[in-house]
Formats: sequence, C-alpha cells, structure tokens
Amino acid sequence: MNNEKKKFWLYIAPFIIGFTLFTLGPMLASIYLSFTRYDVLTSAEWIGIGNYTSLFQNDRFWTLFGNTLYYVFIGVPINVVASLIVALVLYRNIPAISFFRTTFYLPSIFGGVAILILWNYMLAPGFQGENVGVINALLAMVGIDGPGWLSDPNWAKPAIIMTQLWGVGGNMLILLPALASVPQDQLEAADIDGASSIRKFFSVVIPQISPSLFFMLTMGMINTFKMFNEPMILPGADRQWTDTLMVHLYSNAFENYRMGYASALAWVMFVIIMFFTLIQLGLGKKWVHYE
Amino acid sequence: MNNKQIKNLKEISVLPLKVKLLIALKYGFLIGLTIVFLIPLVWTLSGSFKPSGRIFTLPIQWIPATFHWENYANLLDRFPFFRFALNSLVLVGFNMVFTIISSLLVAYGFARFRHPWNQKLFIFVLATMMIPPQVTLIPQFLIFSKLGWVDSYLPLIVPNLFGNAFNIFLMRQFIMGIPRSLDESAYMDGANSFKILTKIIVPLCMPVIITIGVFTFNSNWNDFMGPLIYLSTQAKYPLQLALYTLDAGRQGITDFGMLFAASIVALIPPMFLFVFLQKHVMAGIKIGGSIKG
Repeated sequence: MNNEKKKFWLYIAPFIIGFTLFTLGPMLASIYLSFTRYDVLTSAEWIGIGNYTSLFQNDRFWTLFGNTLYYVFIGVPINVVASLIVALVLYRNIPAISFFRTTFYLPSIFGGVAILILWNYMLAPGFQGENVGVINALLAMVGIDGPGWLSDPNWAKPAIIMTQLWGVGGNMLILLPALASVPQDQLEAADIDGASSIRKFFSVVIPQISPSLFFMLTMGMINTFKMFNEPMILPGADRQWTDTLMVHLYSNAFENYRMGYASALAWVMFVIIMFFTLIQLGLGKKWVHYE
Repeated sequence: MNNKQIKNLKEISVLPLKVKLLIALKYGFLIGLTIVFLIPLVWTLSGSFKPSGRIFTLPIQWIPATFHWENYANLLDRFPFFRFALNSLVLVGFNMVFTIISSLLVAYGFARFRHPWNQKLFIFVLATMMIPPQVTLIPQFLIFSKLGWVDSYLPLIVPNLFGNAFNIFLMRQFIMGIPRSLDESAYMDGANSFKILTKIIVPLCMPVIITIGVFTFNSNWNDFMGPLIYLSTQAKYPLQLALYTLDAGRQGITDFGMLFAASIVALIPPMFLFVFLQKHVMAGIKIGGSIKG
C-alpha cells in the first residue's frame, strides 16, 4: 500500500470505527433484539415474531401511529405553507427588513425544553378567569372564548402544531435565497403575456422554488415521524391524544425495560419512514422542477 | 405583485396611490405578524418579573407594576442554577471540540487523499445519514450500560469522537474549495500531511468550523432525549433536563415566576451566539441550503 492510500485510511479511520461501533453493530443487535424478550435483568429469550404481533395487536400503537400521521400530514404541510407566506412577505428588500427577518428567525433557534415548558403555560386554558395563558387571554380580548388546548381531545394536537409554527423561521431561511433566485426575465415574460399575480405565482415562482419546498416537506416528514420533545413536555390531559410512536418507544425501552418490543417498534418505524419517504420521492418526480 | 425593489422611503412617496395602499397593507400585515411572533417572548419576559400569582391574571399586565428581580435571585438559591448551566456547558464544550476535530480529520481524508474507494466510501458516509437514530438507540444504551457508563457523560460525548456524517460532508465540500497548490507548496517546504492540515487547511476552514460549532452548540444545549435516557443523578443534569424536572406538576413546585426566569436564562446562550455569529450561521445555512435544495 502506498503512502497516500495509508493516509486516506488513517484520516477516515474515526468514521469507520465509529460507524462500526455505534451504528452497524447496534443495528445488527437491534434486529436480533426485536425477536427476543429482554428486560435487561434476565438474559434475552428468543420469541420469534412475538414482539411484532403484539405490537400490531396493541391499540395504543395504532392510536399513537394515528397521532404521528396527524403531525406529519397536517402539521408539516401547514408549516411549509406558513414559512412560504412569511418568506414571500420578507424576501424583498423593504426598509427595516433585517429587523423583521431577525424577529421571525429568532424563535426557530429556541429548540429544547425551556421553550416548550413556556408554551405549556402560554396554552393554559384558564378557569373562570383564573390561570389564563397568554393565548386564551389574547383571544378573550377579541371576544373569543379560547379552546381548552391540551385539555381538549380535539385541540391538543393542533396546539402542538401551533407551537411548531413559531419556528417557521428555519424554513423561511431556506426559502429566502430560493425566492431570490427566481429569474426576473421569466416574471417579466409572464407580465408581457398579461399573467395575473396569482398565475405568475403558481406558474413561475412555485416551479422555481419547488426543490426547496420538496426538501422542506421531506425533511419535515422524516423529523416529524421521530417527534419526541413536544409530546413529552406538552402532553395532552390524556397522553393518548398527543403521544407519538417515539414516545411509545421511549416508554417501553427506558421506563418499562421492554427492550425487545421497543426494538421491534424501532424497525416498524424505520419501515414506515422508508415507505413514506419513497412515496414522497416518487411524487416529487412529478412536481419538482430541476434545472 | 410589484416587481420593483423598494429601497427607501423616498421612492415610495413618488409611487401611485394604489401601490402606496398595497405597501401600507403589506406593512400592516407584516407588523401584525411580527407582534404575534414577539408576544410569547414578551409575555414570558414580563412573567419572569412577576410574583407567581400575577402571571396568569386577566387582563394581561404587559409591564409588571413592580419588577420582582427575586425570581432571578431565587434561581441561584433554591435551584442550583449555575451547577446545571455548568453541566450543560461541559457537555456542549466537549461535544463541540470532539465533533469539529473528528469531522475535520475525516473530511480532510476524503478531500485530499486519492484512493480507489474514496468516492464510494464518501457516498456511503452520506447514506448513513438516512439511518434513523431510533434503531441504534436501544443497543447503544445496552452497550453503554454494560460498560458502566450510564449516569455519566460518556455516552453523550464519546460517540462524537468519530465524526458526524453531515459535518463531514460540509467540511469536505469546503476543503475541496481550497486550492491544492497551497498544500503542495507546503509539502515542498517539508510539511507533513498533519502539519498541512493544522497550518493551512484549518485556518482557511474557519467559516465552516464556526458554522458547525454553532449548530453543535445549539443541538447539544437543547438536547433532551440523550440526557433523559442516560442521566439519573440530578446533580449531573444539564439545564434543559433540570428545567423539565423543575416544571410544575412533575415535582410539585409551582413557583412559576422562577420557572419563567429559568427558561428565559436558558434561551440566552443560543441567542447570544446567534447575535454574535449571525453572519457565519447564515452563510453556513446557505451552503447547506444550496446542496439540499
């Protein structure tokens, strides 16, 4: 082996070692575990597809799968549309634009627990004018009797989606350069053809920014399938209203030590995410416009 | 939609009335939306200066009648705030250093050394980004518990010694943009490959190193699931996990004013970083955005 090849291996060695130890090994172990009953204290017992059948027979799995799909197929598109609206308002260089852009971007850097705890209080529905969170207090100011949010089965999931909308700044930042790259000559050509603003938007702007929209939808979907912090910190009055598959995995593995069942769930989630990602990629070919 | 860019207010004054109205409407919408976006922050900030009983009363008192600084003082007395913040900083610090160094080494290997497998292995690195973390979560936990590392920071730090696919990608792209002639002239002067890395590549890579540093800081500062799984001793909790346990209903503490103050303080480091490194972060996101888009 010559010197250059040796150096190549030397420098990339950390990745190879890390991949083997923390990804490949665990993945193989995870497949094995998913066919066993394992509670950490006693040794793993082979039970074949037992975990998979009990998973599919578990009502809680189906409920939480439904919740997860709700966040993915209602929450993510709402988020993308909202970030598009914000980006459309903010992409021109109007006076004070950097102040506005910063204001909208700022909340998206506040990930983590602190902000979700605060949302929990902002969403407090209140009772007879006491303990009213800011959201319902504002709604009351305009004469709306706000919903119970997390204490109402119909509003718990929308409440969580609402908290995520506060973070549209991250997606906005992807869309701003995309909007700026829409060719002026195409817009002018459309003007000459007498196209209306709406027509221009759907026939020129949307196709031009479709790769960014597609990226946001796909990444949003993959990340939302793994959603964990929101239902943990902003649980509905009944956790079945808000919990996701990731919470199910966490509580089975790390609260009840059902490692085999949780591993089976991890692989089922993997297949679900792959399935929807492939559909997404297939659909993307139809509407995403690449140069 | 009017296609002319409006650069200053003087230009607006010569526009026809209809366009002026449109601009007014747009600004009205923008200002309204901005207020909606700022309300949560303003409400929390004002709540952090109120006694617990006054936070949730109607109508909202935006500016507290008297400022109750004791909410912030209580953080230090009743809640070992510095301890938790220090824990967070230790975790964040190690992870930033380890992620940057390991990703840099691997990226340098891919960017500068010829090998028939170079391309294929690099595509493989990218493909590993598709592996969902939940399928490795449980066996990793079992490995770390066999090693006796549970309830220590090791499981939260050690995996970062081995590079992270996305960071490797960003750095490799950046290094590829640095002319090879710089390496070669250093080589002529007798520098070995490691010296070339530290003396030539690293200084030129500063923008991407800062971007990755900021991303790593934020994701580790905000990490919740990792510490939740691995840490059980409260004195070892990072700030976010400590806040979670402090949150009312979980330990029966209902000092909302203090909780609000704690949450506000937890938001300061990412905000601080954003304000000072805004340009770099935006540039880094553009790099990321263009390859993703």
